[in-house]
Amino acid sequence: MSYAKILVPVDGSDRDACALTTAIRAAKPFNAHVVALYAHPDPAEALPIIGVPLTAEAMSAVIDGNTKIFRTAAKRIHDTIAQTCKAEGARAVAKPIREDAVTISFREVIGYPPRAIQAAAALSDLAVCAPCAGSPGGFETAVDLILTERRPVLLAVEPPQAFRKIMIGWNNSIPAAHAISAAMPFLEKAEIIELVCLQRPSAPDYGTDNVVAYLKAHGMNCSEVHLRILGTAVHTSLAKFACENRADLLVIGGFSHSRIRETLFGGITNEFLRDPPLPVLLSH
Amino acid sequence: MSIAKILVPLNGSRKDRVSLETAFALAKRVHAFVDAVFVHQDVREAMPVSDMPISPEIMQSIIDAADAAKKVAANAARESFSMAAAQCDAKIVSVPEKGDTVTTTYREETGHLRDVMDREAALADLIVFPSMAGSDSENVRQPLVDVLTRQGRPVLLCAERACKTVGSAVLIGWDGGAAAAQALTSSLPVLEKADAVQFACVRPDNTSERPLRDAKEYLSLHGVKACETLISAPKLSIAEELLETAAASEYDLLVCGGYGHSRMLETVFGGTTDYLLSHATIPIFLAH
Repeated sequence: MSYAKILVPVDGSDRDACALTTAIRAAKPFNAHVVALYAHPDPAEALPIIGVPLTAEAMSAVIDGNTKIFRTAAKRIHDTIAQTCKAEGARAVAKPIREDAVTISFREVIGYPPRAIQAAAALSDLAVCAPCAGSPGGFETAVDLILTERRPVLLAVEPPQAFRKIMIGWNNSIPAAHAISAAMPFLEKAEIIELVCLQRPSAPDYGTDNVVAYLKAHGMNCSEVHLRILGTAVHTSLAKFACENRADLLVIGGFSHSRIRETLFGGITNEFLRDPPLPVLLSH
Repeated sequence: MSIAKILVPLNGSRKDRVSLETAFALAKRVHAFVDAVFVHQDVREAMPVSDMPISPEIMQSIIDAADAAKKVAANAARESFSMAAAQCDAKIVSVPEKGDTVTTTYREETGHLRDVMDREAALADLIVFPSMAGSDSENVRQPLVDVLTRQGRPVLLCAERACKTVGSAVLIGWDGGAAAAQALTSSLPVLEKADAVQFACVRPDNTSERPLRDAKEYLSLHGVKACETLISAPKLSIAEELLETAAASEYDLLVCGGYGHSRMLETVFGGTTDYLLSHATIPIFLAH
């Protein structure tokens, strides 16, 4: 079992290069195919609603303007793809195909972007996003991918050359279990797997036999670390621990708590989506 | 992403044998570990709730009777397990391991099936449930729905009779929905090992959000070739058409999304999934 199709939603911004680099490096061990998806609305549908009727000239000016914006974005994406391919040794292809190296294709879809991205993500093995700090749209996309389409999402500021040491943030929840099975292809190729069991002083203890047995059934051995969480900052404790121990990837369940709770009280998922201190794979 | 651990709940009925044989047949194709667990409720729960006080002697005799029934069921489950394991050449192990053969283990848990599934289903790659035909299936149906929708794990629903092979010729029911896409991605380890894969489209392609073209492209990136048939003018319901197509061409596995519509719609208008659950003639791989 391996990743064969990795989806990268792109929009022509500066964030694309980071996401594409991460995707290509994630695809490398599997020679997977990367799809750069640019979804934008129909230029004629993206008219502003302002309450006064627009003249025909104004309308066509807006449509022309929109078309121009989308064209420029598409061109920027093409350039970014060409640059990342050159830097990372991937091959740009016209149609999705798998070869003996990482291939990457560009796809432009006209439609309501969140829906178009979700539909494409449902038929992908992994989605890669750039860190979402400063991009509310990107944040919403990542949340949709994790919660609605239930796809694993990989984010990184500085993607590693290889995913050798992988840490699993374990809190005995269903999302954490999903994250492990979604990360299986990475785990199969990893050299070291560490299970970081998060333990709050107030929460009941849990055994780890079940998750160790599950990994064992997949032919994997892991070492266990128990991390006591004091206060509310799960995010900082876990991130600090993983960074100090030089993990290449952190696998965690996203939105173990409800989204409302995450938004109101701040949550580990939101923090990691905005600004991941190390490469992180999130799944719900 | 890969299927290495298959959980099979047993209850001591005759359907256990079918569940186990189906699980072993699939495990053989993907080299998985089969975790057979006999689940029985606490015998003390057999006590009737009544306004009348019950004398200790009667209480004891009720518990004794329930305990005896539990022992009979456990024996039946154990026997089904050892016979099925012997028949399918499964190696019995105490600790799960990954190898080139089918490995398996048997254990017993006290509690309700629903609670046991709550605890264990999330850390299994596939959960096997018996056929829902017959009257004794109601207490299995709810745990199945829970595993699918709340735990988000794929389910393998057995037919009434065991099949020799499971997953050599696979039919995929495709409507372009999110549940169908989930079923496709989670059944991938089986599809990769299958000899023939065919899509049965139940909806014209241009009206669906995830067209068949995309699904075929996804499979071909994984090295799976698939062909397709269109069920264009269905005479029967979608569920019946799917089962008929599967039976006519000797498919031994049907893959489809479960509860793609809301539970309320399914209950009120009669859902495809509910029909499939009680009429399965071949094993069905469901995901939500």
